[in-house]
Amino acid sequence: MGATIRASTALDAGSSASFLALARAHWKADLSVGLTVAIMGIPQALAYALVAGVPPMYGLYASIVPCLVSAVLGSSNHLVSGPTNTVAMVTLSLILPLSEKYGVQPAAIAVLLSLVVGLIQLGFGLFRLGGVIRYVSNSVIVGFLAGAGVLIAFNQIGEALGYSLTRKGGHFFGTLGDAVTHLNQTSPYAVFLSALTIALVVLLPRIHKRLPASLIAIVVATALNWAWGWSDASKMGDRRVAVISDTGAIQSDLLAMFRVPDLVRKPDLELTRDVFTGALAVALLGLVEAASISRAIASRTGQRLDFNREFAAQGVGKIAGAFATCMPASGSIMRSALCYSSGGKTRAAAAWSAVWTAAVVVLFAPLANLIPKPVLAGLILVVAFSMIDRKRLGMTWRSGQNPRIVVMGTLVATLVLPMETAIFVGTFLSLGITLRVTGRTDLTQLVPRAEGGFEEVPFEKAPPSQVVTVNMEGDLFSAAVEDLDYELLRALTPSTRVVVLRMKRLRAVGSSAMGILEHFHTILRERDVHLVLCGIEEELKQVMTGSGLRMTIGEVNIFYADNRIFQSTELALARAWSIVEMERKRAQGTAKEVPAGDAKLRSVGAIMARRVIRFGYEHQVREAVWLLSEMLKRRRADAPRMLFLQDREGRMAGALSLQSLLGTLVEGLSAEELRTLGQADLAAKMRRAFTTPIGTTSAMDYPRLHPGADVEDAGRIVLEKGVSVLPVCDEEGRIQGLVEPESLLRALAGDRVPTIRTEVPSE
Amino acid sequence: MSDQLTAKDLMRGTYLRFGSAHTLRETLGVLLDPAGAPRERPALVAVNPDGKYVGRITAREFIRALESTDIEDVDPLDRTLGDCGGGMELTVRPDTTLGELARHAFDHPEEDFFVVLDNQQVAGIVDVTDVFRAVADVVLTPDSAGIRLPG
Repeated sequence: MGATIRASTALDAGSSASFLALARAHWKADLSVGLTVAIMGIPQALAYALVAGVPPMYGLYASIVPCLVSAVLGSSNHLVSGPTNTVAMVTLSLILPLSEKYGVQPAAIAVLLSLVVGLIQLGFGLFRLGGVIRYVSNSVIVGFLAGAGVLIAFNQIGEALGYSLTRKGGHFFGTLGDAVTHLNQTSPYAVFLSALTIALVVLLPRIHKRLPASLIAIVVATALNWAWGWSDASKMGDRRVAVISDTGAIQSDLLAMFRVPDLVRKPDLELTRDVFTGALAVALLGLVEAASISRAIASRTGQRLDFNREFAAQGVGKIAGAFATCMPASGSIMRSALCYSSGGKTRAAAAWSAVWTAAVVVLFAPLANLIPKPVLAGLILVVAFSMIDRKRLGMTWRSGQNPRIVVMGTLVATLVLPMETAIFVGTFLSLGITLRVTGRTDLTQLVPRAEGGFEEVPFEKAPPSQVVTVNMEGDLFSAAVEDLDYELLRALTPSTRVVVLRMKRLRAVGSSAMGILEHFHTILRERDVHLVLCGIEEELKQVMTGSGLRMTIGEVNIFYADNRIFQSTELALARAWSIVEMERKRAQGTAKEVPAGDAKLRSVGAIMARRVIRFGYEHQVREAVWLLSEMLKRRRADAPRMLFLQDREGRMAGALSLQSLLGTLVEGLSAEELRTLGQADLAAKMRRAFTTPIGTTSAMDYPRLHPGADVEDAGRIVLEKGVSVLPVCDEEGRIQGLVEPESLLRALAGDRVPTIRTEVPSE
Repeated sequence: MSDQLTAKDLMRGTYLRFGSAHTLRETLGVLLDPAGAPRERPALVAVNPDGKYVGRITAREFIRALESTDIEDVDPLDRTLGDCGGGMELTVRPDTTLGELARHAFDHPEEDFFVVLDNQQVAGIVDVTDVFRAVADVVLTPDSAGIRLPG
């Protein structure tokens, strides 16, 4: 992650210009969707302000300014920002203790929190640090949401039943105890209103999916409450049902929301410092929410997102919100999903939702102040219940022990610890488990198979061998190498002379690993065992060079990863067996090995290949070219390189190689022509040689052997005459077969060259 | 500029690459491995630790070592590739044309492949059979097919 500051990331003039163009292109659709989102979002905005413990207008305003700013500057076409349940709950968890500690209004701290969170998120976006959210795993989010849902539900029980908890936002057990002790203060009016709200919110969507159930529930319940006068103090006394305006009336004068935050005009550094720690958790949570929502929708729309730009936009939105009396906002699942499903086309839809919300505030603020708190509490209870995603919890639970530990650990942490801490606890738990799983190097032994390839077996199942090949796989950073040299030593047997380490599948190799390998090398030297390395990738090569290990082990014992699988392993094994052979000879005191072997194999007749292409010497170049071309198409592995010519009696009359045919075709062409002629012209000139008799272009005095000749004679002729293939002819001169380079080498080598798949016979 | 195929078009990326410090014995051990993966006639290229081309090894170098009757302390098979490697002149550039490759093959009839060097690094090898195939594809027309029986 480079620290290059791209200050234009969030405030690109180009993006603003394109936003206006988009807004104009789809204004009708986006205007309509904006209204839908606003209608559905306003009740939640009020409810989440209640969750956060701030006046309802802070939630409404958070649906206007941060939403508008984030939409204009952001990337996603469907992400709608506003108050969310999780951020609201974490906000409550943060601001209440600080309010008690510093004697400052919770709402003022909430605004400061919005500012600090915004600055953090803007920083993430500008420095392109958005990738940090990768470390907040799905298990952490599932556990956190479930815990938050439980906490939110229990925090609203009091409001739903008509009494106020003395300890809001506290730990689960404290809140539970508080709720139980206040049960006798339950108000039947509040219970009716909250139950009615819950029933309407749950049942109305079953009648029709698109019904704004939350809004209808609020309107109906508020109307009933007003009609029956349950909030009228003169009629109900202490049993009156509390309404929104009791904690802060919503004003229709929107301009009143714009002001410099109190804690910015009169900053308290200690308080700000305390806010910062929690703000980091809120920032991470907000980024995870925004990223997961926008990614989920983008996977359906195909839109490519710029997450760093989105994070910067979220940050700027919160900063702007702090100067507009807003609680911290974030990407809202409900609003965003609704925006997409209702047919929103562009970011303008989210912007229109902010405008519509502002219009509703202006027009209906006096009516909104009449909304009973139990109604909002009922709404929140439904939302809280939905946060406990049983399906995802079950899926995570069934994914294995590690996700289970993370989800339960995060859930419990959320219930018993401050919420902002729970996020970090869950994340570190997830990281710790990941490191435990990955911080390990798997070691197996590679045993060459007789038919080719290798078999991977545990050390204890590998047969003893003078050459041991160890396959290393996994991470080789400091946490993984602790007992690596001890583990490697387990591969050695009393007969081991060379250890080959295959390192192709290693990752994250650090200096600790180099130290361990050097130590292992030293141990082997003390036991007079050699070390050969193979499968070395470029990155590992650089680490080895820097640490000096490359020089210690020696270039001749290091084989680099190549383009063919197991190629470097085969080369390393050849090296290893070569070392074994040299040591064996040294021990015998002989410098030269006398080739042994069956005398019959020493004659060329025993090693020749019978398949020979014979061709009449009266044919033309064209026919030879065609014949060889056809043969090459069919026999790639043992492609013929010579045509042996024969006369009418079948006696060898010459040899025609691919090289001599090519020479015939380009005869008479200058170097300049060969370089510059077009392909068609070159072909035309080459065809001039087509009618040349091949007898005139072949080598008439090509060397030949008798079947009884020694292979040593064949080798001598190859060296003297500069040929690679030798025909074998009988007494009449008829070709019986061919001696090819590989079979000649094999016969000459005898047992002087141990192959990589057989043991060198020990004496 | 010619539209001929070039060495870059024809070259193969798969070949056996050994360090110049490795011995003939271990190199030959890989070549003669009876259970190794089936290979076309292998091309052996020697490189130094920086990956720069040192030379190529052909059957002749092996046969010379196997045939050697020198009475020395060092078995010829234990000589390194760096000691034996040759053929520095048998290299081509990636932009060497098909026509030039055909002439190159004729000028060096004892060699089966050419090393393609790009800035002293081995980019691949061009086998003579690939040059021949490419030439045959170019020169042969549908009318060229078939052979006539000698009259």
